[in-house]
Amino acid sequence: MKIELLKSQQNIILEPQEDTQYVIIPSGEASIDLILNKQGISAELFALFALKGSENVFLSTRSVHKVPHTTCTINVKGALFDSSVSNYIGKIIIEKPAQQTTSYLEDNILSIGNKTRNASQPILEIEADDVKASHGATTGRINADQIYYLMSRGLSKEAAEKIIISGFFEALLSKVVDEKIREQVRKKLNV
Amino acid sequence: MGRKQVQETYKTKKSNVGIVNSNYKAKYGFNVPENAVFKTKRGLNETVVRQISEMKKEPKWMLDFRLRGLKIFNEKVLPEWGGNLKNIDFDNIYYYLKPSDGEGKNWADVPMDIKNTFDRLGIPEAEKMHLAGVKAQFDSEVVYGSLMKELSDEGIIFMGTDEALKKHPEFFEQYFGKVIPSHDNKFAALNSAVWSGGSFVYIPKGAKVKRPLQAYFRINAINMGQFERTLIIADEGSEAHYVEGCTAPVYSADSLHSAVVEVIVKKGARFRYTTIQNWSNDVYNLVTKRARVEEDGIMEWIDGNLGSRLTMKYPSCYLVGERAHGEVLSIAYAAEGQHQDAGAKMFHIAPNTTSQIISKSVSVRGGRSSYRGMVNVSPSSDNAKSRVECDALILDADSRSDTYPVMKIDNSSANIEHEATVSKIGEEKMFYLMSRGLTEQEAMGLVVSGFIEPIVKELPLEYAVELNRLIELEMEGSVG
Repeated sequence: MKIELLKSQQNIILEPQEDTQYVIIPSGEASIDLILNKQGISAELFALFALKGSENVFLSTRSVHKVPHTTCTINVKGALFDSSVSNYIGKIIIEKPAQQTTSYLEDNILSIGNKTRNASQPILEIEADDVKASHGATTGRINADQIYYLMSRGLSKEAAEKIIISGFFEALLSKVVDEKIREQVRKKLNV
Repeated sequence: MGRKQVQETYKTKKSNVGIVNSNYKAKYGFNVPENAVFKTKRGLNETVVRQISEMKKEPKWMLDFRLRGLKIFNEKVLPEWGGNLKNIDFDNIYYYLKPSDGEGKNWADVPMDIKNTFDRLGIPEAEKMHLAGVKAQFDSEVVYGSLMKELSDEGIIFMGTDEALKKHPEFFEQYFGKVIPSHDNKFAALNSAVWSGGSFVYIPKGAKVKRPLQAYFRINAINMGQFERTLIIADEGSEAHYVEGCTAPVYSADSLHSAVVEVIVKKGARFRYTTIQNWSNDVYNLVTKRARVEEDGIMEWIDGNLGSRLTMKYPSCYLVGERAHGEVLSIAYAAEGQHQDAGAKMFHIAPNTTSQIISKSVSVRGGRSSYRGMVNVSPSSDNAKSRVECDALILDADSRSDTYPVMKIDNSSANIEHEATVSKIGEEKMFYLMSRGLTEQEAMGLVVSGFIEPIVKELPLEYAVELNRLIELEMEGSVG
């Protein structure tokens, strides 16, 4: 599978011609159109971000299925520290001719700071019937039971938190096919 | 089955439907001749609003409230989102129609032709079955209402809103228009200007009503808009269940139904509001429903949308007291020519509030169903929890399904989950059922019934039976 690390900017339009994995660390405003216009193609888009201070991200993605037999997966994972803000709009559009489509979108926000804010709008617009389309979105804090478990094993609270945050991202990073890009993303996230 | 063959079968089935419909009037005869004593002129203006208020002999403050509503209605533009509202001709609607003189005190006083309609709706049967109380709305006013003695003994008030305004004005000054102010949206403003009928319910402190309170609604005049206004107050520690069901006769002209329902759930009270809406396919159903839930209160909306041409309805809960809980269970069924734009809204305002939304929709024969929802956690709401689940089934290639949820979280301690799926009926499920000897249609009906079952099981028995029967009927001719 081909892999591409995208630069964060507005109006990114992607039209993959072979199975491709895209990775992005969005900052500020970023919008991505992922157009599936070739039969049999499968595309993945992973967006990861960790926001500190009063940083904010306004991310929007559109997965547009135009022809039959295409697959798309979008995963967004964001950790919010301090008083950072994230806003995500993720749209799946399955046009009438695009039968046998599989499209999935997931958006997880881990809020760590005490003054964080976030908004999330996962949208589905589906005009074909032979499809599988779904999305999931969650916002939550670090699970207190997990912290407790790690602390009972002798870790400090900070260390335990750190492990959980890195685990939050690793769950997605482990799906990135290229080790070099994985390392690059880890460095940039800096958590 | 080949596609062509299937189309053929579909065609024959369609023509069968035509045969059934040809003697619909004679057989079911829902279309009783209109016998209105007073009707306002078509269209909406200040004179009409003043006339309505005068006819009802309302206090001055209600007239002012109506006129303010009219002003807001004229100022607000039609919403750009949701369904197509462009075809509503506001000037071609009767905003008020008084069916006959006064309210019937008992069954014997109810005019014969209205009785006939009720007979066909099965209301007397409902009474025989000792339902808690029946309020039937014929056109815009409650003409017949019966309350069981045990309800009034407990201090429960259940009557038409017009009657309640005269008998219990104290509640109206305090609560009327407070949960849904006139400027909330264009249709709430319209309702505020021309409202008529609806139910008023007051459940006193600690009262627990075991049997559901029921109301029936019908529209029965060409181009008649129904603008009922319902106000419900569940006082501290009380429990009750209110059920409304709608059936409407078939008309070719578009009609408009725009109700406002306000519910106040006080400390520790629990209230459930169930609606099964089956308007005829030319009705615009644009309803605002909202509950204010105080400390430890629980509000449940059960909302079934099967009929109408376009429904835009999002029952909501404002969770203003600590540990308040809001819940919406929603079913939408959209067939040819229908757009169900339904959903729910949850506003978490106080700390430790929780909410849940479960939505199931079915789109068939070119129907479109949309889920539109909102979960809003305000900065003052610590440790809010919300879970949203929406599932959609698309049964053929002509139909459409959309999901438009918004989650706005302004408090970092919130725990919010949202899940949505859209799919067709799995081939393996159909294969399994058909290998057990079911026909394609039976198998499909069974899968659809199973799909909506989590919500149907929450309905009172007679509604659950009715709904299942309706789905079965609707499924005829959808295979292919």
